Amino acid sequence: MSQSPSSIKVVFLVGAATLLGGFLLAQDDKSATPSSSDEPVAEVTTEAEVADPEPEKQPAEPATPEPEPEAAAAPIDPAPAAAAHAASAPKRTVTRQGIIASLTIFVLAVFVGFEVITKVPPTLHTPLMSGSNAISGITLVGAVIVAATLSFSGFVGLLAVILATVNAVGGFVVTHRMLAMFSKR
Amino acid sequence: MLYPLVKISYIVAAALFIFGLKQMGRPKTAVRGNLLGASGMLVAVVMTLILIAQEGVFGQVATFWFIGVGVLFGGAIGAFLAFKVQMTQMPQLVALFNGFGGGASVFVAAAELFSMAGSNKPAMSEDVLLATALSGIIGAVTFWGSLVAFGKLQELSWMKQPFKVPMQHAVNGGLALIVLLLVILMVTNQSVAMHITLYIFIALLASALGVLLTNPIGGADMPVVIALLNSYSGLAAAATGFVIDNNVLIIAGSLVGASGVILTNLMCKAMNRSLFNVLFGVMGEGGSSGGDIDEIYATVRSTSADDVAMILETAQRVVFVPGYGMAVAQAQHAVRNLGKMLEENGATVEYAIHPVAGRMPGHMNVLLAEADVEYEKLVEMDTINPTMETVDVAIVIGANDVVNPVSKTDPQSPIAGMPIIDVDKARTVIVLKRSLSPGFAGIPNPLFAAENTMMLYGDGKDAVLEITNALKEG
Repeated sequence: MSQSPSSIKVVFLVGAATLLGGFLLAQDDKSATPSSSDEPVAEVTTEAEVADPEPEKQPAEPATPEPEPEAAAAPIDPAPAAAAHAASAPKRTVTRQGIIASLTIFVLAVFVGFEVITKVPPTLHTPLMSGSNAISGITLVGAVIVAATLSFSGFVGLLAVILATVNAVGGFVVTHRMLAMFSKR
Repeated sequence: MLYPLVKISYIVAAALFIFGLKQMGRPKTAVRGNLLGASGMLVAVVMTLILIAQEGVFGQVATFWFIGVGVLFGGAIGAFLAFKVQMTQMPQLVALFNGFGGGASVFVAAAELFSMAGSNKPAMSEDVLLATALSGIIGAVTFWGSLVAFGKLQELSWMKQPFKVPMQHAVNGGLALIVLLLVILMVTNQSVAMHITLYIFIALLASALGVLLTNPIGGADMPVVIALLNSYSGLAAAATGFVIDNNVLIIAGSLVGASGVILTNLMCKAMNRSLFNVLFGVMGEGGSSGGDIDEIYATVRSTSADDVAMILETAQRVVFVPGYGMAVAQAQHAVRNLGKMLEENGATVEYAIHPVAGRMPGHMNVLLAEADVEYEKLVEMDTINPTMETVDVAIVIGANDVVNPVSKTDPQSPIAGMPIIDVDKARTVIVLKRSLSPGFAGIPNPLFAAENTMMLYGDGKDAVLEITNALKEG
């Protein structure tokens, strides 16, 4: 099977860099207040990511506009509540991006999905299904966030964490097993 | 600084998902595509965990480990199931994982809602409440629908026959209406306690709806249902993204939703039925039964493994047409061995795959790949049909409706217009089957009585082994 090593490398480099950066920054910085500097950074990173592995890369573009809305919304400060609750709910130190921004992202992403997944040969129907199913395990991110309190809602969140991890890990592993079978020879 | 970084990691994850899905559409890059998706997931989850470790201070380290243990536990179960599963059980497993994704969405939305109680956070606005309700509804329908599908595919004895619900459609419609009313109530209500109560009711009713909607669907319609539930699991994740204001959930969820819709569409087309018809139509009930069975099957000829071996010995071009029966009999390895033997004999061997053969999209491809059949030998229906006249022997194993010529001759038939593999045009057709019992559509198959057809009764695997042995001796 031809796994272009360059592309894999890019993925893991990007992943490793992100993780390493996170660890380093986490060492000295506890403030959750978003600075306005995140906007340009976001642009650069995404574009690099987008440009690297494959040249015919149109569809990913719609994914990029996401940082703006909340950066724009940041100045509106939910001050006292945020201060009191920064502990139990870190995400809420930033104002919500609003339904319109979410809907925009949703609609664009649906279009990206339809454009990206075209003419899949029947052999790949099952792997595509189980692989995309594993991606829907992304609920895990949400589950981790809501599970981060020691309370009843945290417990419910933990149930979600377990279900979503089974979904994600199992899905990717079983897809890999299947695809490895297809490409044995 | 950490917070924007986490957000950026979500963008990276979203981009990786898009690349991954794109590459999963081509055989050469599919493995890489799956790995890209997995790395996207890893990046997003690990960054979120770091955020929690740093700022989820409520129980300090305790909270983090609490979640960490949950992740390890879930990961262990998932990996265990994924490594242990046999390829014949793949449809069940996909259904099960699907359901878990939906269940997770129900719980995330619930946890977010519950956390409102007793806190001085501002109450949820209408749009967020609506997203929460949707998350609960889609998630619950996905969860229970998938569990029912799992039960059917696993052939749990008590689920083999769908339980009878009087006035099925009226009950479903009524349930859906009540759910809708509760959603309106919830969105227009101001009290957090009411929100929580209504959410629980909505989730419970949606669970019932999920069971009732999937209950009557079975057999050959399963690929459509599995693909549709796959789409739902994505939409549930996207709705959850609206609830907790998280873009990576919205993006990943809608990508999965789109891919599920594409597959659902393909499956419906392969059966020439609308999605509505699959979900709400009653297959094989009433209507024309296709004539008198005894009359149609009057000229059926049965044969023996030895005779089949004799025919195969001189055949130049042999095509296997597998169906769900091959999966049930676990005959894929035996079939492949027979195919190899025929090739050594100088024949060309191909495998003609109908898009809805089996119980999930691509089911037959997975099974034959497991048995080491080369990818190039799996031929699509549209490719093989024009050349069917030059096929010496077509061996139908465990397939029925997908080779039933009635779809072309009888416009009243339940499968009218469904594209089939034209095995009736081959010079000789050998059908391996336990009996003459009808397939999922519940109609007789005139192919079995055709002049050029011979029936070899028995278990698919045993029959293939007998033929192989007869060939060896002959």
